[in-house]
Amino acid sequence: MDADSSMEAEFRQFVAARSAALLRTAYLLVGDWAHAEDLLQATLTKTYLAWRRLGEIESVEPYARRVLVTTATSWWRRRWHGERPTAVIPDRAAPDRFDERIERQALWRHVRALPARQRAVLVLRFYEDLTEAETARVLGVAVGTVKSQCARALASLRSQLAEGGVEAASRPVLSAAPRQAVEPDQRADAGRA
Amino acid sequence: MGSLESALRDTFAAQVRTQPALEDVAGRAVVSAGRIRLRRRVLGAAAIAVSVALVSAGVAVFGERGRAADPDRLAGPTAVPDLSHTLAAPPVDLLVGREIRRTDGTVVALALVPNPNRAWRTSDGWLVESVETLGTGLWFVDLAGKQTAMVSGEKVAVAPDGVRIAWSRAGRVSVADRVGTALTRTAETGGTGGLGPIGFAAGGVVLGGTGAGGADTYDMWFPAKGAYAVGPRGFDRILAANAAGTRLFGVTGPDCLAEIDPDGLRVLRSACGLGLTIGTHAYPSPDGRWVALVDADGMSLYDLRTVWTRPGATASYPTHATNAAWLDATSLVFCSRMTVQLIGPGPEGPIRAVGLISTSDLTQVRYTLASAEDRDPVAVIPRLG
Repeated sequence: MDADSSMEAEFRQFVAARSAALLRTAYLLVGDWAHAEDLLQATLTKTYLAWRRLGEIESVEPYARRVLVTTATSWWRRRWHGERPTAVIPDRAAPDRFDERIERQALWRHVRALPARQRAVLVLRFYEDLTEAETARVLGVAVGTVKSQCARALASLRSQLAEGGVEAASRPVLSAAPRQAVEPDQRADAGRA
Repeated sequence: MGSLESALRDTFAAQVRTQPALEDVAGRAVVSAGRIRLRRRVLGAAAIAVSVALVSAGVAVFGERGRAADPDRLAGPTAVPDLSHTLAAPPVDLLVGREIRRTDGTVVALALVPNPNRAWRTSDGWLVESVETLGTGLWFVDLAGKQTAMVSGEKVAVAPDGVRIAWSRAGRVSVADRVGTALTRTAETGGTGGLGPIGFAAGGVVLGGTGAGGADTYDMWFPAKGAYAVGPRGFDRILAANAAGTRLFGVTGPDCLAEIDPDGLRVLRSACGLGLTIGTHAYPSPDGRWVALVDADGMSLYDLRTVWTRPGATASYPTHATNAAWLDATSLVFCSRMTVQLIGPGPEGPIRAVGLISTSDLTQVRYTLASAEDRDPVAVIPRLG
């Protein structure tokens, strides 16, 4: 097997293992599946272009995630991903209570309206379960920026929910306690199942 | 609903509980990457060939290539477009993915610039803002395509004259004149409390950022007066400066467009109920008469002579819009997904839609770009100076 074939085989192995998880993160970043697939495709293309210099396979996923997030926020900065009509929110698999589903839909609607950077912080912190320091590294910003963006996003959500009469808005959760650092293996198990 | 964090975790998990199946994304990425590599090789070879030709010819450049490299020719007066015609070439340089697509149909590949985000046409090339791992960069790309990193930091801003640039890094804000790839007349200040440059007005640098309490905060720094001194910070958001730099436009209150005096950041006039969103961008016309407000809901033009007393748009184009640039006092180009629309003077009113150009059409005509980059967003490149 020549070097190119070997590299492509490694890449395909990585994609098979991680593309579903990356797609889910992409969806949360951009808000609809069609654009999430576009974002994932762009991310994988960039990742494959950089494959040789990434070296160790362990460094690929952090790189891919960083490309995913920076590409998503870059698209937003050019106003590419504004609010748009969305398909049915795919949360019907769970036997949720009706009012919980309504509240989730309201919260998701408000999350989608947040600026891309704030939304990215929320996704990395509360979906990917990254620590503030890890989130800062992915976004290429200072930890303080992550804290302030997170605080602003939560305050904005709380305000929006309060306007809609949703109870969570009044709870004193703005100063989110720093999450305990999670080991990468634990994170992979918990966040991307 | 429990704590907001818990609700977010539940909401995110519920949103991705079901997802569409992916079909050979690895294969598509491999094919796309191959095409991109090939194109880079071809464009690299072409750039080398052009460079060699220019060196061989000395300073003087003749023929088609020479005319194409003449910035004045590139930015010549915009003809009134055919009202019913689909334009055959972009009316303004475009930033598409990692390329600058020029009005003459040529392409400048931005091989060195990481994640190009915005660009400006100057008399001697382009300034390109990049989104980098550790912040933001500003690159100068000359007419032969040579790319030089100028500054890097948290924020960068470019003045309407295309000469003054400002950047912030590690708590310091700097401003300088760009002459080619050199920086001169550099001035620097600290103590801005994390605010960085977002624009220029009234001979000063407009500073913006997150202030105490996480709110958007703005202020001015006038380098001619020395170090930064804290001014009367305020405003929900500053959007843009007019071409003359004598006024700023911003958002005050929940939905009010404000005209602001840069000296003191005082609201002079406001117009409310315009449907401004958190993503609204403003583009004042060069003559100061119009302001185009662009966001996901579309592009609307407001007459700055009347909007303060009669809030309402002169013209609205309810198509998702991303960014815009004025070609002259009456012609505006804006991006709407994969199209670039030009509006200008027409018989049915002061401004009306006159043309439509599809970048995918351009791709089919001039390039073979079936890669993921085809779906990259498009940004128009305003001309400075």
